[in-house]
Amino acid sequence: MTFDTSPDRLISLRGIGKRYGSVDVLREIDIDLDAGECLGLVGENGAGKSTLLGIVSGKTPPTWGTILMGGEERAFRSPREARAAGIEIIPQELAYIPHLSVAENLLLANWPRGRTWVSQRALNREGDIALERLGLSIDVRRRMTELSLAERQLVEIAKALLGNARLLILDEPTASLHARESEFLMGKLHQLKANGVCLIYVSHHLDETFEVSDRIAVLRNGALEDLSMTASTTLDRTVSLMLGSDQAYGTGTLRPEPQRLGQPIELRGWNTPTQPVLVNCDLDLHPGEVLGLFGLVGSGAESVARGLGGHQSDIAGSVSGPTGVSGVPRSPRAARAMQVAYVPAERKSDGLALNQTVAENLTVMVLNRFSGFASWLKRRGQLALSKSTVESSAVRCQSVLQEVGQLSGGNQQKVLLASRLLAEPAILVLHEPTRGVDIGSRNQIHAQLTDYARAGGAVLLVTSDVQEAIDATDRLLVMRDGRVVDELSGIRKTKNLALSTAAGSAA
Amino acid sequence: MTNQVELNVAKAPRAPRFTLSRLPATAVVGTFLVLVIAVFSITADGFLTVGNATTIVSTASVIMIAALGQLLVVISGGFDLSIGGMIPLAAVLFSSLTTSGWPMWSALLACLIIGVIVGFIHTFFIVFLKVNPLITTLATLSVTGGIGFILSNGQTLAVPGDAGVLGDQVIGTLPWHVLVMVLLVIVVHLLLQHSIFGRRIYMIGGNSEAARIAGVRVTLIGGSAYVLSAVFAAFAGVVLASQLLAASGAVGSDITLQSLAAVVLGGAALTGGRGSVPGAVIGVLLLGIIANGMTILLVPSFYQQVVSGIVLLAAVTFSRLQERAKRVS
Repeated sequence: MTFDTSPDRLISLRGIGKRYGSVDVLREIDIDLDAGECLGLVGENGAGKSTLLGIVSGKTPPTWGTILMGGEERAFRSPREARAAGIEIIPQELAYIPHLSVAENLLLANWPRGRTWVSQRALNREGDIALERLGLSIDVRRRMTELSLAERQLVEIAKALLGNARLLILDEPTASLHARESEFLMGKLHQLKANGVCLIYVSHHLDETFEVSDRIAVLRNGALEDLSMTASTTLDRTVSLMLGSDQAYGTGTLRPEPQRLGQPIELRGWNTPTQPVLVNCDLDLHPGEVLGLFGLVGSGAESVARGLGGHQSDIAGSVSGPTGVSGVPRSPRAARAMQVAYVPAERKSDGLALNQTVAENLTVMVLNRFSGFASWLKRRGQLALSKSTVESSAVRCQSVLQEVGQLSGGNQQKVLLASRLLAEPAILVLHEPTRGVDIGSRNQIHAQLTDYARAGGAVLLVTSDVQEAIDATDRLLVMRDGRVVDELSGIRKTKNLALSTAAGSAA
Repeated sequence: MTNQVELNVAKAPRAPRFTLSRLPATAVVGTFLVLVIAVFSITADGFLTVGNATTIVSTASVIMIAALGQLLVVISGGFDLSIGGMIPLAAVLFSSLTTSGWPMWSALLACLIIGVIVGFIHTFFIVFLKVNPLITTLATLSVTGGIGFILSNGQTLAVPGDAGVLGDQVIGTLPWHVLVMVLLVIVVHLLLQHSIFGRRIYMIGGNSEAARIAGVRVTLIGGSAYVLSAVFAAFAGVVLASQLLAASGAVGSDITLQSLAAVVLGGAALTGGRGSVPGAVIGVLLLGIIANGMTILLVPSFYQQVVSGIVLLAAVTFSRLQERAKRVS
């Protein structure tokens, strides 16, 4: 690395490191950034990206190292100080006020100085000027909620530029955007670069990172693994550097070839007519195996899960299931009639009634089995089944009458899964079943899925966690742009291939 | 929800320390009820007599019937403010129908049908269209109460003596309506605790989205709670009219708040999923006894209102602290 100072040098990081407790989450980071360039920052979850962004944007003080701007040493004590120095960050979760107008949102942080009363007209005029700098034609009188997600993102960028940002950090800016919206954003980012703004672009979508960046920095385990010109590196090389050579080609545990039991369940021609979320998506589920469906956010994988669960009703297409051929279920009850059980991704909001007991949550789908005379509930049977299920699923609780909200996340997830398994579905659909779950529970949940499949169930595991996609499945489908783009099994089922296929490399 | 502390209970078993906040809500309010009875027994002459006990129960039975409906709705995650309009509407309707010669049973049936209709209206707006229950039932409170005044032309109407079976006639010393009330209390208790329908009400109150995804008929069950609530309120209105042998557009309009207060005193949470019939019974009795005891002590009724309000606030604060203790323990 050269330490010369080019005339365009904007900011230099020298030996930046961060220690939390006794763990070094970031070590010896040296990066120089010039005006008008874009740095792509990539790395797996936990590689230290967020910490580095936090340090640059003034949120987190570094343990070691210095930040130089204009040849001067700078130590930001708050995001406010960093902002004053021209560093703006646009977080993944946008922080706008939904019911205010675009103009009001734009000027919130930069309210015209010395003015208590501001006329709506003046506000709108200044808002217009702010948007013009980005070449945007959005009516500033509209409310933020009326804009598309991409437009909101752009308004946030315009807001950042109002504060005369010279370094703009974008954290997963396209995570919730469709392909077309992403392209539009990319175009605007190129324009910003041409205007001399320096960008740090953080994304799991490596294809976009390659498109927009001039250089790519790879973080792994808190260290700067690689920093090369985008033009002189490849997507596959970058993925290998992110994962590290030791695990890049390992397939985790080798699973025995599953035996396919009976007729496959065929999903055909799944489309979302109003938006390009799913585009002619087809897939086959075989009873007897755990099928993985892996895709980045926006790939459409989550819509397949929600659609099968009857939780997303704007999907056209067909399902040939154990109950015959039918359309995509329109409601959870319709899904259930098709013998589908669905484990939603959001455990707390969609999965469990936290203030109800373990027993009530476990038996929610099978309560009618305990119906006696005049729908009298056979309580003893309900509790006996709950107790045996708690034991067989190794749920740690004081009793089945404990409120489920008092259990740990892993145990809550076990209760949720067990409640679905009790319904004995022909098709079990899981969406991010181990998000925020400890490793022990995670392994156990994965084992339960395999057992259920081997006993004749068809299991569809939809996940954006690449490790899970590799470890817990027999066969892995990779989704991108609303359709299945590749099937990985046997020795081809690697994290490398899964990630690069999902991110859209030519391979 | 997001700030909830997660804990692994089985990992660190600790000897449970005794604190007041670990007792069930009903136990605490029940203890308080006993305390209040003890205080009035000493201070108020003639409080601890069979005659006065009959008065308390007889007065409380209208509120109790209405509170049962309120309880169902609150457990299902909503609330019903329209009770205070439904009661006078039913009372006025009952008195005009019986006055114009309808038999008592037909008039009762007509009032219950009005209750079903109002319940369906609530179901349509709250359960199907997802309009806020506060706004919806506030609107129907105004509408039903207003119709009550229109029907009675702002006057107090009389109820013919022979139509006052429920309120007037007694078995031993207990009026009929007390027996009916006790029967309803038992039925609703069994319904909530021992029927599949009842357990579903708790489930949708606990998390209606999770229940829906699990295939529970959320609209059917939530709607049933609102229909039952309006029917109970209509019945309470009829009982009130036959008790007083009179009805007006203003009678019983304060029962909205009393029923809500009683249910909450008994441990129900306005966020849904919690509450019980025994708790609601204790809540109704507590409010009724405070009013009765203070009346005997010749405390003006305005003070009674103040005391009821303070008791309610104390109970709700307490249950809030209890919830927090549970989370962090």
